[in-house]
Amino acid sequence: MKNLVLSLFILNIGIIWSQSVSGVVIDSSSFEGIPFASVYFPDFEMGAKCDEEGKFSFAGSLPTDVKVRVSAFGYATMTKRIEIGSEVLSFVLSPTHLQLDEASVSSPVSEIQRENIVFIDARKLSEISLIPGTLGDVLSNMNGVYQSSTGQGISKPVIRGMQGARVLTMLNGLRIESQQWGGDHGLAFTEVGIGSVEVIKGPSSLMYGADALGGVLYFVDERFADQGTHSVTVSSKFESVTLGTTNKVKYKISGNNARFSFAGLYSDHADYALPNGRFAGNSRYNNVGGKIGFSYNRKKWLMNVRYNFSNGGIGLPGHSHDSVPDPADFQYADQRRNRIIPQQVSANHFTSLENKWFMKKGIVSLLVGHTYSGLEEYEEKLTTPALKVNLHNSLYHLKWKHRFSTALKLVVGVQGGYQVNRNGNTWTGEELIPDFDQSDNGAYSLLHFTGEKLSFLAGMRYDVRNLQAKNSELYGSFSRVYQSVNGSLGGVYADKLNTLRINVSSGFRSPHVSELSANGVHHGALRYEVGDVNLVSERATQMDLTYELSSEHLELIVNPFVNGITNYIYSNPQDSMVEGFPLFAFEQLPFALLYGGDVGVHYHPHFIHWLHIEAAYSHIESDNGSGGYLPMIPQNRVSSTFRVMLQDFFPGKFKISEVVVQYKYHVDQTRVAIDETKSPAYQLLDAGVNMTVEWKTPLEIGIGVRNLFNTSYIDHLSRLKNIELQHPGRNLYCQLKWTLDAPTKKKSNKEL
Amino acid sequence: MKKVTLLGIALLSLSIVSCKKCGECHYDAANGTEVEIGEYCGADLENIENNGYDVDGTNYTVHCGEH
Repeated sequence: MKNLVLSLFILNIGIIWSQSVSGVVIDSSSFEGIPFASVYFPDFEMGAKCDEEGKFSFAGSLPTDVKVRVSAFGYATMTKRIEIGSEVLSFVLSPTHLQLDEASVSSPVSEIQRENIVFIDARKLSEISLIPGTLGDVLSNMNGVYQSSTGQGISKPVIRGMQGARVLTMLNGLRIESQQWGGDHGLAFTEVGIGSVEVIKGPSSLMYGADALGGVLYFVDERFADQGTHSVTVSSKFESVTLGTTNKVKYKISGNNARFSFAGLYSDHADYALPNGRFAGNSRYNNVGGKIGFSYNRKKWLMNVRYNFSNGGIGLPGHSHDSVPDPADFQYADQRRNRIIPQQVSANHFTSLENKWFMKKGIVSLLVGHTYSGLEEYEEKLTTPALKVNLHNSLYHLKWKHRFSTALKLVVGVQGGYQVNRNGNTWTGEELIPDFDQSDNGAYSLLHFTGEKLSFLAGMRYDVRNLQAKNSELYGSFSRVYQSVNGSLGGVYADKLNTLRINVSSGFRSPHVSELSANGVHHGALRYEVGDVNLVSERATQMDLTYELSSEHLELIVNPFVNGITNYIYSNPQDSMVEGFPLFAFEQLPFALLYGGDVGVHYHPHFIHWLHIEAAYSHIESDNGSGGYLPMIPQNRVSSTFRVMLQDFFPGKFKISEVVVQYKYHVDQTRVAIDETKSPAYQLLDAGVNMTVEWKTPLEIGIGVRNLFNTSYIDHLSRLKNIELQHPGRNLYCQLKWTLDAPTKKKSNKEL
Repeated sequence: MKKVTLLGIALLSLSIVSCKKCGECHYDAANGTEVEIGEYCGADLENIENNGYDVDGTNYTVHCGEH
């Protein structure tokens, strides 16, 4: 029975030969083994956890020349290349008070932050969701990242004041195309199974696309289970503000060379409660999501297969047949969750196959994938949509990384995709955007030099886009070709305490077909949108400076930037109504400027070991080139987190792990575009307690409250601002999480 | 280990609730009042939304679901 179960998940092909390697992880001060340290081969996604004596072992088909990452709580992470032979491995870690240099997956040349020319803010999802919330809520805990929301069910990430098609979302290297041009089209996947997120701000991401003028959000799944183990995790969260529940289940199993994981999520939320005791009408939503991952390696080859899906039914607040609606009409006296209209129904399916071949001095990787995004909007009829759009995108990314020496590395790649967008049958015959076919192809090259303290990066990229729009209502069928060459140049100086980076990069974004030829009501955005087929490509040039101070107890980051964009495309409100909705037309500014910066500090006092204090400030300014401002620029923000670690004070089985308090102050936004209203300042306080009951299988409990003082506020980026619908009021939550992990059957000599 | 395996398999299946779409329906009478005609589900709901509701030889457009 055990063999049958395991064989369903673990592949056994070809000639079998076994290899094993063992080692120990040691404390540099005491020279004692570090219990439960983690040893991980990131290129092969293979890991093992040390035992109580700091000893570990791997078995199976192992690479000989490999990068290893060794980490343990309270110690500085070590990353290095090693040769695996017959001798026992030994790694020495140094204690540290602050966990620095979070490893980066998205970096083209080095996963060590200090070696990267571009500042990559890499965070574990668990670190930014100490007080749980929606995926949009926790992303906005990262400095410089905001969210533009339509209630709780729809959230769009905003980086340095840019969103939509200017922010590129990647999931395990797969570019996600999910109709992000729409203001009410949120992230197309759930948080289940996500391990970390990396943010690259501005057009500094040549390897992923020159059109990411705002930046890149790179999501990475959780690691597979350690070798020879499997685990089940079940969690459930309840929130009072929506009487909502979010339930997740995860299962992972890893043999010697094969690894499998599964994750699923179901959430259901009623209309959220407003601070005034009423409820935001039709803000209810539900979501089903899941993913499957399979990984297999040999000595010099790795294969990953991944599938991710997310289906959601999201109410669209703000629907009214009145020409001048009363905001009170959108606030209900009682809380409901049954499906009503208007509603957005989304279905997203992402599939990818990645192969990596490891050579003596480099890696060749090929990723092919397919994304499907189906979007329906139900208006007036429950059974037949008023709007239906299906977007298919097939893509590829071939990349070659070569090490000429330890100092000089080259990355060369080609990538592209083919999008097919088709409107489905609706009762209105309405097409907000026409059917279109689009091909994108690009080639890039990056050269990285690493010295003892100085590193440099130079890169270039060429992109070409072919667009064929079919039978648009305004312009009939038309085609466009857009192409551009872009570059990036930068340097970094890093010593033991200080890191100074400077980077200049360019990007270009061709207009999306919605900006060229939209003509219709966009119910979710509460507007009638009209495109302009004469729009040309945007071009951006950004200068980015980062200074980091990293001492034993203090980390400081200062990151100013300036980003100039020519031919800036934006949606301009017109002074008229069409079909009962305000008219917005896509127009173009000759030049727009975005500038500002982020400052962050993390202090861990030597004399108060149990206290962590983090504070950050984000500031963004805009200029529309004629003395005015751009629309939808986020409010400047101060945020601080106090984290009190208490586990050492509880000797028994019940432990309070930590108490977390988060405070955010959003400065009033008075620098607004014409016909855009100003937004007042507001502040929020969230607090939570995380506990552990150390049974044989530990139970983690989290309780807390968001918006403790029931503050009534409307964020400047909220799409419900025009109907004066506030954000949720006080929200009490309770979260339970239970993880059971165990070794698989005793390892045999056969390679699994 | 056996318990973990069995539990893992048991929890692998997510129950995706698939339910019929239902809605309370009404039509607007000639004098402007809303006339409730009850709840319809599934194919009946789709039919009445697309084809309307006949009363004494007059076909009325039907609205279902609150909005």
